[in-house]
Amino acid sequence: MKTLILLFISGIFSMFGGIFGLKKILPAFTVIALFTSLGYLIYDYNYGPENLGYMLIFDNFSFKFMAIAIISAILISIISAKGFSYKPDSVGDMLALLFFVLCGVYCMLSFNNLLMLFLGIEILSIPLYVLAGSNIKSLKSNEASLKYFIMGAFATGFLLFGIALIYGATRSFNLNDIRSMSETATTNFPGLLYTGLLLITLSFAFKISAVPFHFWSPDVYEGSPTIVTSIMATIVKIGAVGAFLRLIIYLSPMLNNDWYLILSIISALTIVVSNIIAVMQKDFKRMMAYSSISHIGYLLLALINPNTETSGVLSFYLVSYSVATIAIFVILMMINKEHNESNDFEVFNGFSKKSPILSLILSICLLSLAGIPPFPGFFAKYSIFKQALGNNLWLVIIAICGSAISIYYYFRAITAMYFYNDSKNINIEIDKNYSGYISITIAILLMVLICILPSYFLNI
Amino acid sequence: MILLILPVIGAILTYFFKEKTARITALIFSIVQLFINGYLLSQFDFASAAIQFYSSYKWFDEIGLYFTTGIDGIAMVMIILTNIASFLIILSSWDNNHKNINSFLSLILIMQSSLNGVFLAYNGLLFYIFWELALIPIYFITGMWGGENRIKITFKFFIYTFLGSLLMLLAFIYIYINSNGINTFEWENFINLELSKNESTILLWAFFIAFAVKMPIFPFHTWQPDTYSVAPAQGTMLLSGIMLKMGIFGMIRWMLPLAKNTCSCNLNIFMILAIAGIIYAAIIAIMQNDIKRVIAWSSISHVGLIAAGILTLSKNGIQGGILQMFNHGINIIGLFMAAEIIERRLNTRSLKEMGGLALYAKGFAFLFMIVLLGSVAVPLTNGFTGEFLLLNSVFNYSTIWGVLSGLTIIFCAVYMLRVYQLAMFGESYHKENIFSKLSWSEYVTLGIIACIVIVTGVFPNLLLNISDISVNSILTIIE
Repeated sequence: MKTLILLFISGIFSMFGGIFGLKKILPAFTVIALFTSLGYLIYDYNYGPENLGYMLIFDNFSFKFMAIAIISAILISIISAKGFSYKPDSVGDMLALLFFVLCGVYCMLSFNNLLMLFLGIEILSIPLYVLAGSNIKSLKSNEASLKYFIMGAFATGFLLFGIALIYGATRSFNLNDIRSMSETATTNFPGLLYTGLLLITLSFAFKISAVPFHFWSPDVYEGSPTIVTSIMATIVKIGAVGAFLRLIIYLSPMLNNDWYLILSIISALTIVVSNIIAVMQKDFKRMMAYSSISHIGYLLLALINPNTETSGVLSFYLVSYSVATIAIFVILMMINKEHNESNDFEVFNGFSKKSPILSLILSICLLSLAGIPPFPGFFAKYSIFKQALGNNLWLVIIAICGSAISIYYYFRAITAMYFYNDSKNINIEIDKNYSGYISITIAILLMVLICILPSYFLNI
Repeated sequence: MILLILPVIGAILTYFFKEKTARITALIFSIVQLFINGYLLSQFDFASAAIQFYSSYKWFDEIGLYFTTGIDGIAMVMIILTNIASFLIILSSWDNNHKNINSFLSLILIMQSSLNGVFLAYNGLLFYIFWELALIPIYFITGMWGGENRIKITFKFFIYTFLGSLLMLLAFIYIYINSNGINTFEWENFINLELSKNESTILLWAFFIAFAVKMPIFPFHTWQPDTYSVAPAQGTMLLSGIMLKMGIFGMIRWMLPLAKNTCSCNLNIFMILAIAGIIYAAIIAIMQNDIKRVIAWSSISHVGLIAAGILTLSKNGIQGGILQMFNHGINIIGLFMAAEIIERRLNTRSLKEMGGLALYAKGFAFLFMIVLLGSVAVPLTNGFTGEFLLLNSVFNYSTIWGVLSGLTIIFCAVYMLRVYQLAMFGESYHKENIFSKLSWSEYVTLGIIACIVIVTGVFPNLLLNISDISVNSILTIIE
């Protein structure tokens, strides 16, 4: 609760701070506020769940996922001055929106009532629609925002419809009630309930951009400013996956094999389609969009028939995925002077000669995402596959094939950086600002820590 | 343990130095590494079959990953090879004018560390991690400093070997999942597995393909000649001298324990492939015009013989295999070094554009001859004992196959002597003397290799004694 209030107040503060001329200190303020809320989270950890009128329950589950989201937000906000430099007048507004996104994530992660889930998703989405279109001069950014908004509104409609149907079947929004009803029920559930569940699943699949609901995501990723893309690729995914897992755990008594079959088909499709399409991409950001879709596919793998270890495995995967993804986007922000510039793979041609350290880090992150040992991505993928192996052998085989394909496109960037000469006259200017380096250093340190102490991260 | 950490420290240090300092640092680290290896050898108990210097730490308990390392006789030979070879490779790059020599050398040191790791690991997953880790530096070495068409070829190499080793990982995981709470990644549990016949057969094949790609054995070899000829000399030395041994070593340590429960027909198929490779590669080697390609194909041929010997599951075969792994590693580094020396001066690898070099460089011709004879397996050179043991074992297994693989000696003499003849004797292709004298580093590298060739040729027991007991214990596991 304290964290939620703190985040909200910080959001309001940075909004007004922007008006009253505190723009210079706002990024620093954001980092401090986020660190404080992280501190609160750690302080509250193992302190017992805090129940808020059965609307929100803050327990270890939500602390854990929220901590990952806040760590990602810290990494992003360190470079926020640079990331939002396309619109320097409204850095305060942007940071406020970032805080509100985090509030939404926290609501989603700790919901105990379907209404709060809906509210959380909305609190998360609306600032994102604004952020996606925040580069008002860019046509693509506007397009991204509109696309995201229309598709998002559609998915929210599904979600609401689903919630309404579940209410119709069980006469309650409260998850505990729904669960106890399903446990005591003697007869079969009415079809309404399953229809409702299906609709909720579909809207989640949209939010995490699983195939076949993924079409918006590459366009939105490509069009949005890079810093917003990094928020969408990490914080939003953490929130949505965490909320989805929470929903599944609560409703597990009424989820039958048919429902899990739907989920496994979505997961398999996500892995196969996204990996294959990613191979054909020319634009680096689009490639990253498909790559993040494929990672969602692996995450969905763990959501099928969850057990007590699932939340640990998922959070482990999310940490290693988010840290690597953010580091990649931070580097992308550092080398992009103009925000309208294309992000072709050619940008990276001969990059290793211009900046050996950045290209080394970028390669490590890409290798980690590709799941090549001994980088954290390998451990994360391994634990997910191991967990899923008991239930669905065929899915794991598909996933392994998918990650074998993914090596191709991750290596394309590495190949471009190291093996090609700078053929075209693309002038890359590397930002000399230290903020990017700080963010990357923290990310790399985290990755090293994950490598050395994987057990610790898995069991938090 | 220190064998693993030291090169990494060296690599990081080397990366931050420039030019000359980087070279010296890398060299010092590889020498220190050699001394540590010598110390370990002096502490090594030759009469004990147990795993020595054993240590085990929990790394990632949940997935069964322990940092378990240790050395037995077989691994000892391989580690000696790795460290001597890395030293020679770093020394041989002394006169190279590569750009960014510091990153080049630090990649070699990282490579050394991960190769040592492969040989030290007693945990299947750890083995896999080092196995893959060794792939990354060589990918960069070949891709950044390689010759023509390097990007495509490097990529093919990477995908090929990566997919192969994925099979190994799957096999490891399959065993782990189906064991009831026993950590089968640990070698001691791995060798005591109770598997059904079908299971072991499938797993055996998975392991075989993973290792065969790396060696490479006949139908999986297509990445090899391209990669060898495109990689810079030091990269080729790493690939052929040490990395290839990872496959054979993996075969002895991880694949053979699975063979105890399977039909011997599987091993026979593997042997047929190996022997087919011997002959096929040797014939192609005779036709080649590029000196590096001749050596590359010869390597496939030699490795086929080693694999065939090991697959006989006899004491002679495995002992010969281990000895020959060492010898082949040393010889092929020498051969590639000689090729590199020629290429540095003539800027060509085509045998047609050489000739008459012996006139200008007598010392070089002498050293080259010794290495070459070692490769042909003339008595009193190192190749002889190894090949003798191997052929003996194959012969005892089946006379026809023995005869077929015996052809390797004849073929080898043909293509090696052809190389020597075309390159060193005959009319000089170039009118004036452009073959400048060898520098001290080139002399030292080739000289050390020639010494090793002679010494291990005359006293093969030096190496055979190290691995003797361990081979016995491997054989008891298989029975």
